[in-house]
Amino acid sequence: MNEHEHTESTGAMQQVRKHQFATFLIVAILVALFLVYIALSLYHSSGTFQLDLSRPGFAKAREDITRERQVFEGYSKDGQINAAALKEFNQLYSQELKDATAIDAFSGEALTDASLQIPTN
Amino acid sequence: MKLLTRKRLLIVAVAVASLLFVVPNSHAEVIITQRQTKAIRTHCVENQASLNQLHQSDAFLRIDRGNLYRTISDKLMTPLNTRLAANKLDGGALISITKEFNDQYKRFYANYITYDTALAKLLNVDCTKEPVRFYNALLDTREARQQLGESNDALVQLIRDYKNQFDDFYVAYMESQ
Repeated sequence: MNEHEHTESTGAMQQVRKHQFATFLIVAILVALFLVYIALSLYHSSGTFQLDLSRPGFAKAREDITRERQVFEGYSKDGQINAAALKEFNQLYSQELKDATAIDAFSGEALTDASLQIPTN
Repeated sequence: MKLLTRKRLLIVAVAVASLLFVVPNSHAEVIITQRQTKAIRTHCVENQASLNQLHQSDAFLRIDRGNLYRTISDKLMTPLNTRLAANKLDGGALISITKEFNDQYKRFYANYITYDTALAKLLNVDCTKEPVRFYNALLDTREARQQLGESNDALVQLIRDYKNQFDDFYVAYMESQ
């Protein structure tokens, strides 16, 4: 390090010491921005973004979800296995099976050329 | 000698740089007819509106189906498997279907992300100004939706398989009593 560089770095150090509070604020803001960047990257890359109905424009979907929400206790993992226990499971499972097969979710129909009024050629 | 080495270096650098600029495309751009272009432009506003609506209803559907599939796995399949094991009964086939179901759910989860990203891209294309780009984005979205639909169908099939396997178990258990 030559004399000129040494004088410059000493000057910079003096400036930092002189404005300690401002330096602290700038560093704190930079750290906060970096952490926000990491959080948003995780929010996007994990797929949480796609499942977040609190985004603007999803008010209708949000209402539907709230309306449909109900508590389902499920089947107990403890206890004996006998005819009554198996019957209980059968009843619970059949109800969910009915829900699962009730609709043809994500069918290709919605994005066909015909549905968007585009001729095939 | 030195000049030759420099030339070689330059050739290698150009080759590497040109490789970097070759961006792989998901599929070759489809050329559309004038009739299709006109139809895309004519129905642009209503198509954008219906795609927006589809985006919203799909988000609801994804949450709804996701909750249902997690409920079936976490609150029905897994507890029964655990209970059978605790009672020293053979539930091997049921466990294997549950495992397959959970693996398939991960695929469903990932496929929805791909589909939603494709649909969001499609919604960002101005179909009046860029009908060809719109149609190509539509093809990508359609393909992503097809994969999502297939993974959803596979999950529903595994739910049915579990029920059939349970029915077999039930019959065998009742006969053994």
